[in-house]
Amino acid sequence: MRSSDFISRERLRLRLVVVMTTIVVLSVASMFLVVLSIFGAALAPELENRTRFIGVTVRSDLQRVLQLGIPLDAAAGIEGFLENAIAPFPEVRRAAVLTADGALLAEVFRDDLSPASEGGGLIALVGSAPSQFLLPVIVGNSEVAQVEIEGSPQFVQTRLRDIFLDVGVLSFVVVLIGVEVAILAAAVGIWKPYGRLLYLLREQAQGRFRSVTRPSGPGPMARTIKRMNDQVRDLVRRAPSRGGLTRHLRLSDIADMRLVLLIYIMGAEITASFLPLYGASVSRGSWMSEEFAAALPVGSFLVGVAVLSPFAGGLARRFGARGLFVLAAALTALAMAGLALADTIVTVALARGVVAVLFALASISCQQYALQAQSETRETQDLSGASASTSFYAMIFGGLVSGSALGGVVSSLFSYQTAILLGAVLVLTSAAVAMVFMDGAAGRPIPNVTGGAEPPRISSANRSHLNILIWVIGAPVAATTAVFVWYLTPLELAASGRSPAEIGRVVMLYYLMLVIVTPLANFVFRRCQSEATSIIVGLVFTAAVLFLHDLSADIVAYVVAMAVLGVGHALIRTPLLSAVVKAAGTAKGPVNVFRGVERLGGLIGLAAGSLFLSKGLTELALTSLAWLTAVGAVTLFVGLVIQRSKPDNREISE
Amino acid sequence: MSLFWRSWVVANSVIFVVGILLVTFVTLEFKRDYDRLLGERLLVIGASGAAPFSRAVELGLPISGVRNASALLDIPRQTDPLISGVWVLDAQSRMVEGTGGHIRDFNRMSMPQVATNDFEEGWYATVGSAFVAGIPIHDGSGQQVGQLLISYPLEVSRTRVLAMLAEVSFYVLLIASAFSLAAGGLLRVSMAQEIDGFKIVVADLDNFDHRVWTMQRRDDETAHTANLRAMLERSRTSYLNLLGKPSKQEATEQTNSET
Repeated sequence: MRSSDFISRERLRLRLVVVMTTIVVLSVASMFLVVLSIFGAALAPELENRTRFIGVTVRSDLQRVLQLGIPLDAAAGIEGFLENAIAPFPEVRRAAVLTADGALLAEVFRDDLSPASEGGGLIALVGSAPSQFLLPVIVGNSEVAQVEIEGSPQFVQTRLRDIFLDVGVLSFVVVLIGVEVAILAAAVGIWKPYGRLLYLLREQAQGRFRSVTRPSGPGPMARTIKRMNDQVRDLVRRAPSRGGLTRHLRLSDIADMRLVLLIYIMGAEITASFLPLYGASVSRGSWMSEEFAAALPVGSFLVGVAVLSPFAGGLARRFGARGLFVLAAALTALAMAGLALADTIVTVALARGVVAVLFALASISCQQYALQAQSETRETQDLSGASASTSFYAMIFGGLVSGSALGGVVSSLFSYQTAILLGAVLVLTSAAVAMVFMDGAAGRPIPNVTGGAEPPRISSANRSHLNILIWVIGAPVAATTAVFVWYLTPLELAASGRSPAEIGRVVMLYYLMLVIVTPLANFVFRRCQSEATSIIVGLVFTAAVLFLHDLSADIVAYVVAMAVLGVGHALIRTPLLSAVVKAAGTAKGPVNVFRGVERLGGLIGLAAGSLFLSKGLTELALTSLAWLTAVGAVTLFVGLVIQRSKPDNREISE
Repeated sequence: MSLFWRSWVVANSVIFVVGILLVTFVTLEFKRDYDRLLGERLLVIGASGAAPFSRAVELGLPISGVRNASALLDIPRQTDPLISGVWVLDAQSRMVEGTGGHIRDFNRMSMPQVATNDFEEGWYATVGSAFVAGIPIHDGSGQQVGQLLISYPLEVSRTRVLAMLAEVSFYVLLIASAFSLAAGGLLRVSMAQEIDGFKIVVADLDNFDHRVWTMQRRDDETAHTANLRAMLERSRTSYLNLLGKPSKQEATEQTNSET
């Protein structure tokens, strides 16, 4: 039996995800049913106090009027009086004045609140009913009228809906971290010791007794490793003339960096849902518009990442991925503390720029570690594992989903500063996790390899195809993310009175779709061998959102727009990168240009977006992006048709 | 089983962390909602109490010039017997009239210092051991010349919050425990293949260890992982060869040939 037959990481991960998601969804649903009942019952006394208070106030005012001898049906403006009485109490749905025998004299109600009779499924299920009062108005010894006040269950429902959504998104974050912790625990406790044992066995079976490693794993495994170590040490002691010093074996695994990167991205990108709002909330010079201030921190992030990205890989190889990551994470935490304490837009933008530079360093260190671990795994072990780039992007998008959701919830409950400081703590935690778990050889400096294969020459046809992919498709896609997801959505939703938690949930949807749809799309289009088709479909989705979305629409329209845009971009991202690599014939030079153009596109889009917003032409920003996207789709489609119609291609395909 | 226990511990952590998050959020939201509901009610009660003072000030009288002030301050108290104090302060936050406990230092009662909300109608906040609402008193030009304060014992809201916290925690713990067991069952079933496969490897390692030390096979020994067993054998043979000793297998073969 091969070891990979009994322990496949991907299969294990999938099963853990399914089990944990099922359990968490069911437990949250059951817990929530209980909470619903307790929460409603606990708020009921105060809601009753308020309803009764309105009733008593209205009744005493009416009594005063009636005691003056004014007949009730002659009293004008009772509706206005009732409206003023219920104005400070948003949970009161209806107030009415009735005669003693129950005939309606005056009535006001709020249309936007549902009546008590429509308590909603869950409310009805747990039996939490809104308060309702009927108070008599007595003049002398006789009842002359009645005051009726009715609350609405919607107040409790809205509160509970918010709690449910907050807990829901945080549960998602916890499950995501939980699965990664489980995988890391299995890696550290089981398959890494097993991998080390196999390595030692293979080496010793070939008569080479050089490596020793830390005995770990379940009893017999640790015992066997210890015995293998003893054999090496014994032979070295007996025959020092063989010159064999022992070598401490440190195997790397992609799982070492997954949790580290997830927590880091979650912390560093905790501002994803509110960065423009934070930028607009701090003080700025009178010369700077609010729209520009909102765009500045996002722009400085793009500049920071663009500046450092080309060098980060080299730095990680030179100084070691683990050391560089830990250093970058510690400095990121400091920069984020600075971001939280900043009180002017210049310091906010500066701090965010520094975070961006360190973000590029830290994330590329992890990517370097994953690539090294992947090549090491392929050379030395026979355990099946995920590819480095899949793991890397899964953690980046997972971190973005979690960061935007967490940032929204925390900033809504406390403040933007608290959320950013929590991000700094998470980043520090990732540094600590990296210190302990990124202990493989992949984390060490790699000696410089001078010289290398000449980059392949790109044919003129491929060059024009490459230019279309990079400039006509890559740049508008990046600009759409920067302008629509990062900038306009938070600003527009905040302007319509939505809380940071709600904005966080909406922005999170975009990344959630990337996480879910990207692997599915990769699977489908890899089978069809057609990156271009996937990109064109994705561009059509994107253009449709940009053409059809109304920025002044309700939050539901934003939810739909983010979800569809996420699906569209999921269909574009990986196939586009793959198409660029294929057209260039290498994964180096043109890919770096592609990354640079993506950031440039984001920056130009952002600058144009803030300019359009300050001139009140935001719809024009979206329409321009939509046309650019549509042009990209058409150009690629025409290119595809021309390519397929070429006789040599047909021959090959035939 | 190590794989199972590790996964179960993590699954339990996830369930309990989600439970703790739910309890925390529900409690924070409850406290916020309760304070808001109470604060809004106190503001409306206070607004009716402050109205006579505002009318007097609009006529040009000082706040201290309202003669039946203490009787006017009793009106808000009649609406809720739990109201622990009602005061009228002037623009310099000096007490003009009022009685009640909880507030010792009226200088701290200016709106920007304590307010958690910024309603035009006033503010409410937790100050020391009381929940306090402040309703501004304006003169004819709209200038604030004082405020009416109402205090409410904090124990009322604290008791409600703690009672709800205890009740929610109890049920969440109960549900989390039930789902922890369910998670254990599900994990055991879904990871059966991995757990069994791993058991086989560990058993083979154990058998080999046993054979090295006792120099004889176990009665029930079976080799499940041919690849692993072969490598274990070869490594042992290489080691003994380098030591200059025959391996057990070689020794057995030698003995057989001699006999």
